Amino acid sequence: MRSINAGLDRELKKGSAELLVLALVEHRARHGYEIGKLIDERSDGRIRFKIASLYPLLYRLEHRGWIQGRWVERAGERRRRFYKLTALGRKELAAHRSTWADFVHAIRRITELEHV
Amino acid sequence: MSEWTQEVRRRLAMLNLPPAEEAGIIDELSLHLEERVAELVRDGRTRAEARRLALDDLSEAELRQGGWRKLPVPAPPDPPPGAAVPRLLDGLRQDVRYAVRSLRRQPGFVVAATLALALGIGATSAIFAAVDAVLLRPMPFPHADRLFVPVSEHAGRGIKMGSVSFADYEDWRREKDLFAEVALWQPRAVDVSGEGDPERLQSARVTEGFFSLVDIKPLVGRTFVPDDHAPGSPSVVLITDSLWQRRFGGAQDVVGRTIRLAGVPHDIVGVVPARQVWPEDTAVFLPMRPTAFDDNTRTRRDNMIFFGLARLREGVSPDAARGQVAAIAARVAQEHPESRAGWTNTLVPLRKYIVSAEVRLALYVLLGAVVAVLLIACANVANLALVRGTGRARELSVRLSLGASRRRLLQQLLVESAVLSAAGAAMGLGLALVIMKGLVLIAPQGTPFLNDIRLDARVLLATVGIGLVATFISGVMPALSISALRLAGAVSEGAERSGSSRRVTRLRNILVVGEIAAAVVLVTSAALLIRSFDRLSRVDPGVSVDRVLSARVSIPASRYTTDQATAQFVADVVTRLEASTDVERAAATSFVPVGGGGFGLGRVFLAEGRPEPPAGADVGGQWNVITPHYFETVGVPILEGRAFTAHDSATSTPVIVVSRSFARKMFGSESPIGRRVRSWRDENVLREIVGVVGDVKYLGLSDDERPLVYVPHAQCSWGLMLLVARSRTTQPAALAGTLRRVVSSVDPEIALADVRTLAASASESIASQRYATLLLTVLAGVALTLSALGVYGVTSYVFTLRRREMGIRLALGASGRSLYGLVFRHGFTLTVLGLAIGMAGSAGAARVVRALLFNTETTDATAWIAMTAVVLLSTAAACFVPARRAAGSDPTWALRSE
Repeated sequence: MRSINAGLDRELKKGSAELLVLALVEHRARHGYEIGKLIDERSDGRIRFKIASLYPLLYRLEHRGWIQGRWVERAGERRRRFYKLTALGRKELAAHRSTWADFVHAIRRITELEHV
Repeated sequence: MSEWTQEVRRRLAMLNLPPAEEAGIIDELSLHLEERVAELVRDGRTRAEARRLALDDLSEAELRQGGWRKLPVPAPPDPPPGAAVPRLLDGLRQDVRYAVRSLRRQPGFVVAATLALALGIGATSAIFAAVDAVLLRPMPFPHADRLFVPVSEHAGRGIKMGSVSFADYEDWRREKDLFAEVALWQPRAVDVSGEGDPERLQSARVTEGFFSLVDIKPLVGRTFVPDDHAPGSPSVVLITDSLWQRRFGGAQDVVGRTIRLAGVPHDIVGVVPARQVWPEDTAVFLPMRPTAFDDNTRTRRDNMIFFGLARLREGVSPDAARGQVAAIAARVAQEHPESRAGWTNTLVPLRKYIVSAEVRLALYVLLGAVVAVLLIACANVANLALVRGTGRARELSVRLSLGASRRRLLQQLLVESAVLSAAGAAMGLGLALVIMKGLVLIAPQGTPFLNDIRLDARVLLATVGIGLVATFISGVMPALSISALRLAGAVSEGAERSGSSRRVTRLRNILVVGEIAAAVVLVTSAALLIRSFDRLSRVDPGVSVDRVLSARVSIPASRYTTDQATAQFVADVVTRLEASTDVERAAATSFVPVGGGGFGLGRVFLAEGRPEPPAGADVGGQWNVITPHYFETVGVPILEGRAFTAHDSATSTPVIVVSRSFARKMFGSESPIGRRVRSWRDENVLREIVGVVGDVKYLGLSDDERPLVYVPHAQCSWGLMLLVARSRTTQPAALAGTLRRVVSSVDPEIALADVRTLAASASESIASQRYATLLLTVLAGVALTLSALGVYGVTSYVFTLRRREMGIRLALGASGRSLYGLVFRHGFTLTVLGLAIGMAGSAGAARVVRALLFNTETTDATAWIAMTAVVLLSTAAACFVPARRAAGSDPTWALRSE
């Protein structure tokens, strides 16, 4: 039983993490540090990605073709790798969003019913 | 590079990231850490604290949980504009580092592969260097490619590259359109004295055009002018720079000084560079004076006692010149049928003239052999690399399925094999230098141009080329197996045992069969040469070579002006020698058999009463001049009649002793004793045959039987003779002192030269055969060892894969012996296939080496049986270890591993 819970937990985290990253690069390309920082800030420090797990996630998404990384050099700055959403990623993001919305909705209904 | 790069690299090392991606990831993570620290510092932390906090996020534990293991390989980072080259180099450097790292994990593989490559590359480069020096590189003479040697040929008598007559030379000189120049020369050993110890040196007497022909400028003084060739002009000499340095210390005022040649003073007129002049080993040049020749020498078409040299005019094709020379010869043959029937002339390129056909063929055979060894070595490396490739099948399949491009993995494998080849080539180069030294050291004396052997740019280029080929072959094979993996699409646990490994095994089997086939060709060739050499070294020379010492003496005509004086000198020396306590028998002869050398004359003979050609046929025979105890001294048996005695003198009946083959040719089965013969074109004196002696191997152990005749020195007093002495002890070399003492006691101004034992002459006469046999045998041994390693590799690999099966068989009651049988059957199947293919190849190769064989058929059963036995034995040895391992399989292991 524990393992099933742990598995679900992992899936949840994983699914949500992917959603977060995809959403953050939806409108503009961002570099890894920026993505991590935004997640940290917008969740008021509740969700934090450590460097050791953020980048494997980015590479995995890139490999699936959902985001695309590109080295960019700007005047006066170190070169950085910027990730932007691909067309495939856009579809995935939409799907993730609706799944997630359904999920949250379901959870809310369950938990709220208990309160009633 | 930021301060973080090193730290990040160190921490990521445990992940074993693919090198091409590693750099980009390190960059990205370093930048991240840098910003994180900056942020923490902004928030009020100390720098050290910030650093510690940031790095905590990259701890081993975090990395383990971070999902890196499942990491797909991202596309390589796009290089920023302008930074492409350093990035590329960086990537290459990383690939190389990664290759070295991964190779270091398998030292056994690396040692085996590097050694195989080094052997192949080293041997090939060294032999190529020898071929290059002897056969390919331009000779060190000006206009070397236009230098030709005019020669006489007589197909019926088997004469090729024979010397030429003076009259022919005069005809050729008239062909101004063909030849820039034609010259003649005659070699002769002379005793040089004056300013230093007397020594015996090689001289060449040359005609007028010689030095303009060879086109060399004197270092000091001048070369010969037409006046030098006029009769009665002062005696002049040109010396080579080596003699100039040795005898005159390179003194500039050497011109005008005199040296004594055979006791006669000659004025030095100039110094010429020895290296640029052919014939090699000539120390002094003298002007030939044809106007002083007698008619015999100047006009007779069959008096072929000169060596020629010709330089073609620029733009004249050798074929055109040859055609004209042959046309002249045909005309001469028509005009002089009695002496020139069957003769023709042709032009031989100088290199072909200097490097004998046997040496050329032997070198090419050796070159072929080393190339085969190199191919075997490459196949071996490819084979080894395949094992590694399959061993890493899972790693590669996983990376493939995670999206690594095949190109990327290929590149890495190629870099790995390039690193391997580079190591092999470097070692091979070192080995080549050692082998080259050895080649020169054990080469037969007088192998032309071999001392010029060097690893020059061309040889280096060849070596690098070989290294590249090796890289390609050993890199491409595992790459093919990767594509096999991809087809199998196997990430599954059983990938190693699935279809892909069957393909790999088949590939490896093919490689091993090829290796064995190549080795079989070499071993067969070597076995044939060994058989041939064995026969050669046990051939009956017709003389007893033990305990005999020979030495040359030159009796100067300037001081010994009469035949009687010359004969007396020889008689005195021989008498005193025979009086010495350590000498059993002694004699003088004009020629020493089994390649001992001397001055030989080919003459033609008619029996008394028979008509002269063209009506009748004459019989050729080599003319030898000897003193009475010659046959006893060298051990030639007297078959009929008697040897010469002191009673055969200048005033007694002219006598002659003939060899058995001469007697048979001239008289068939009749006894020749008492019959009379004359050398009708030369001496033309009827000589009575008083004895028949056994045949001897004249020019060396591999020589054919030659008809010989012997006449007493008292009746034919030549001044160029050899002394032969039979020792009472088994140490004939110890007689050298006695010989010197005796000669100088008779005439202190006469030097001895070429002092050596008959056994040494006999052995030296087959030195080139020994050399070729030895080298080919070594190469065949290397080839066989490498191919046996291949058999070992593939059988042990196959049976490691089938270990579970072996265990189950044992568990089900199979005997250890039956498992031995299983392994041996596998190894022998490969070997028999290789043998069959190799034997077909050997039949072809045998046709090539046939020209090197002595009395040995290419189908020699012993050689073929020995080859087969050796190859099968080596396979058996190669299968033994894997077989023992299979028979020792643990049945329980098999069950556990399921």
